[in-house]
Amino acid sequence: MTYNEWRDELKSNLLSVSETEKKRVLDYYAEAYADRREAGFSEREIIDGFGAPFDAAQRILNEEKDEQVSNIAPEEKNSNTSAKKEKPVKPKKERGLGFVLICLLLSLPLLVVFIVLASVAIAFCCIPISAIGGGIASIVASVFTITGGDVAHGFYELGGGVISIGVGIILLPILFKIAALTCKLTKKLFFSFKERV
Amino acid sequence: MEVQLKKGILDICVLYAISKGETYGYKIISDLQGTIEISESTLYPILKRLEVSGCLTTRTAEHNGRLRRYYKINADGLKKLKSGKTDLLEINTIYKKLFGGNI
Repeated sequence: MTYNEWRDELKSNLLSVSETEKKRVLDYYAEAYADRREAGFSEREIIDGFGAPFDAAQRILNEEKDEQVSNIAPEEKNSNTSAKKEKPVKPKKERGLGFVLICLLLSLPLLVVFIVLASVAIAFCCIPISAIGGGIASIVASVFTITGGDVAHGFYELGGGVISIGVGIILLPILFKIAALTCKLTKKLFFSFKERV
Repeated sequence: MEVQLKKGILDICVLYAISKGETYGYKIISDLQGTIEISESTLYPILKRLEVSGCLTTRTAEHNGRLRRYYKINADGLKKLKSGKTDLLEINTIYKKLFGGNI
């Protein structure tokens, strides 16, 4: 993993952090990276020292959470405590089937978003695969056309097939990467909604 | 080591490193090498926590054509460091009573 990849992964794990804090974190790591490079460390050694980007992000997120808790005014904390003392916590009510159905109904627009994102990812994967598949089919068909006597048409099919395979091979890594990013985005969206719920 | 205990000890170590004079992230880690294991990813939340709690002041200055953040301890930081030293002494006393000898 390169430093840029490490930084991008860290950034993608800091979605819930404010832009100011995100910039501060990235500046901090950019400085740490530059300082270690100056001290003679290799890129790999530095990345190993930083640890997994997910773990680094978790530390930052945990600190943010602690900060939010400690920012609650003491009076507020006390009032919360006294309120708890006065009113015993009621056990959670069992949610009925109706409630679940309403929730499902209300979450349908969200489901549509996820389905669209998943479809986009699948479509991106299908484009190069179908180009390569179509190309192979065209080459096979050209063999029959040439042996059938229509040489000019056969070579036309052969050329088309080769071009189609070439385009498919070129597009394959790019579109797979886009599909992977779309999947990652869908996953993040899903988990951020799940956390909020 | 228990997380909260380690967090407290790391705070004291970082404050100690900064108390020697204005410093920066990588130097803090280098100064603490051999004393306690600390990485950049561990240091960032500590520095931020200390800054938010008013123990440090920071400034950004140019170094080799790039920006570097410098940290300086202030009166509150020194007070926290002093209280941290007392805590460590207390822990040492408890250890001595329980197991004999110093930590």
